[in-house]
Amino acid sequence: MSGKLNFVLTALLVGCGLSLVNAQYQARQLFFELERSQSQARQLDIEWAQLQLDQSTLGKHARIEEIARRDLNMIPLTPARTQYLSPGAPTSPARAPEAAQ
Amino acid sequence: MTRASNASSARVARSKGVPFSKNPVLAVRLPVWRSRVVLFVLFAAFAGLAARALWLQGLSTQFLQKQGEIRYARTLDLPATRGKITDRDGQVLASSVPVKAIWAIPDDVQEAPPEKLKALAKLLDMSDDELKKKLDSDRGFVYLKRQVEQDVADQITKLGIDGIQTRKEYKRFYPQGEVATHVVGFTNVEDAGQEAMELAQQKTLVGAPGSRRVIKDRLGHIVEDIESVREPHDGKDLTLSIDSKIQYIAFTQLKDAVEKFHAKAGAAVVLDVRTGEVLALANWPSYNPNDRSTLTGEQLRNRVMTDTFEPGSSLKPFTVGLALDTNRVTPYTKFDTGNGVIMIGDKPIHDTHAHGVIDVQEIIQKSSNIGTSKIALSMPPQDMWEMFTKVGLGQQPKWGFPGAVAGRVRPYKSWRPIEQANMSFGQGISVSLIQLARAYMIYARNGDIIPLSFQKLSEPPVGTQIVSAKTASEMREMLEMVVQPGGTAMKAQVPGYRAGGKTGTAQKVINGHYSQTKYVGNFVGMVPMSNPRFIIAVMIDEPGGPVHVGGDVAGPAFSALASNVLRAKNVTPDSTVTQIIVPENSEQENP
Repeated sequence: MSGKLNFVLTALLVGCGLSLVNAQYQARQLFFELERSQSQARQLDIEWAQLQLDQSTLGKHARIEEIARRDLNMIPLTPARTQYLSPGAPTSPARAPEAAQ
Repeated sequence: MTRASNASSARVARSKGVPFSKNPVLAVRLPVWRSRVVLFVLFAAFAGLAARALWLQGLSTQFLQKQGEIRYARTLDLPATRGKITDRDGQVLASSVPVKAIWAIPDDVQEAPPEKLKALAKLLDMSDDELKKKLDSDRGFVYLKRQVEQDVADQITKLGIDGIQTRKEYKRFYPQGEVATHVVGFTNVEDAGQEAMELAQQKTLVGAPGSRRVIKDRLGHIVEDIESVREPHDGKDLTLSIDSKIQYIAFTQLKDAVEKFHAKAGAAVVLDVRTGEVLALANWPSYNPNDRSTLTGEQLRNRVMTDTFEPGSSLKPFTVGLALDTNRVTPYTKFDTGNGVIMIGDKPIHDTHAHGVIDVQEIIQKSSNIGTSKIALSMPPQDMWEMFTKVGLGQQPKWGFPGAVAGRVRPYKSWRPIEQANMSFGQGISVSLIQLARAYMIYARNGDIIPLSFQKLSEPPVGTQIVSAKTASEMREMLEMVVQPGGTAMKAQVPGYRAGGKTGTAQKVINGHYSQTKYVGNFVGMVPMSNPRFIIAVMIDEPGGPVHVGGDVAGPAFSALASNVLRAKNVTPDSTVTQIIVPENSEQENP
């Protein structure tokens, strides 16, 4: 009887030991993964900041204006050739429609 | 001998089937001291072990644990990133990017092969001699170059020179460059704010670095945390009230105006009437915050905030407004301004032209010094002083901007009549451009004033009533007349919109005397007049050409700035005037 109990307890003990090893291993794995993801997140954060910066640099008004003028031959709007439309209001007599582009 | 015979007799006994208890060996008597020695040695060994265990576990634990920890535990610094600065629409105005500082242990580097040092010098963008000079040092630590970009730093690491190390740091980039730098400011190499909002908001921007203790394995991988992590707190992002589109318009138009009139400098500010937010603040000359190697004080100066000047006639609306508000005059009260000169005490006051008998509206429209003086002298100095003070002139601004000045309004008790008259049209009083622009809030709004903000607001602040809504609307009418035919600033007209404002020209005070050649021209106006949304103030310092009057130098700049701002913000034109005089300066839209 007592021999049987000892056997069961030993088996249990060994089982526990193995599961501990397994748990520790899993924990390490997950920790690695977490670390990797965190460093990836940091990297992405940096990249995002860089891209935002690039967006702001490339989208700055000085550059847009220069390209619009030089490459696209655009000119600023002048009141002389602007027709303003507002809902429900008659066309402003100030500007002839044919002057509008 | 005996033992051998014993053993053999035992074997013999076993082979003969004699039981163990009868074994003859058991009967052999050994000398007692032998077992005693064995016993003693065993116990001594146990005692030795116990003592050792006690020593290790009890007495030198701390030392050993520390030694152990040194071998596997590492403290990692977790740096905090400085917060970004964005404009009101989220466009980045300042952002930190990780870079590397390159440093060296000079003694170790001395032994490096010369060709590698040559390559290093090339990567660091310095001559061989410069590098040698830096390395020729007694110190154990020398910065070779700071804020080196990541890819260059990687190449340097790849050279594999002994004693060359890198350290992580941040570099701040300002994509808008010279356009917005007077609002945004900049940081130094240690990432600490030096100017403007970078300085003002240093505490919230900077964040708090954290750290963690970890166990690392042989390959340098982190195995686990051994203490709770002290999380780094990144600096908070800062959303400014600046609208980068309006900022760009203000900057370019100001720059054009300064160049066109050969002026020494200029400043412009655009305020949101409804919320008190500063939408643009521009200065010329300016500088590029990304490369400050040639920075001069002139470029650094923020003329909107830190320079004071005598505003001249643009102060008249406050004298006249006070008289209107206290019912001393109505817009149609007539004043005789005579032939353009009157004497107050023994000092003359001049008008540019003889205006004869004009009403209060015309006093503002034609900017009559004599008329304003007459109105001013009908009021006690204390009332005028209180009016100036209530609209913020001579008061230290509390808008969280470093270096903002209070200007100067002398105590009313010391005012002599001639001084009171002078102050009524803006002489003998000094203000900053932003103070002047803010003071106009009372007319752009319905008589109340609100604090200014450099940060985006979620809801508009509550105003303090200074004059009645009736006074404000009467004054708006007069300000609109200024830019209409007969006014002093027709060049400040904004095509398609109703605009209004007031010019100011003041001689500069040089060494305590009014200069006859150096002027400051300014214009403060509001658009669209039917429901003012923007207050725009422009100041042109020392225009060098033949024109120097505020209406002629600052007026066109105001017009160009206002028309572009209104177009950019999609404001519906409110002008019903069919014959718009497109001002001469409209070519400014095509710089």
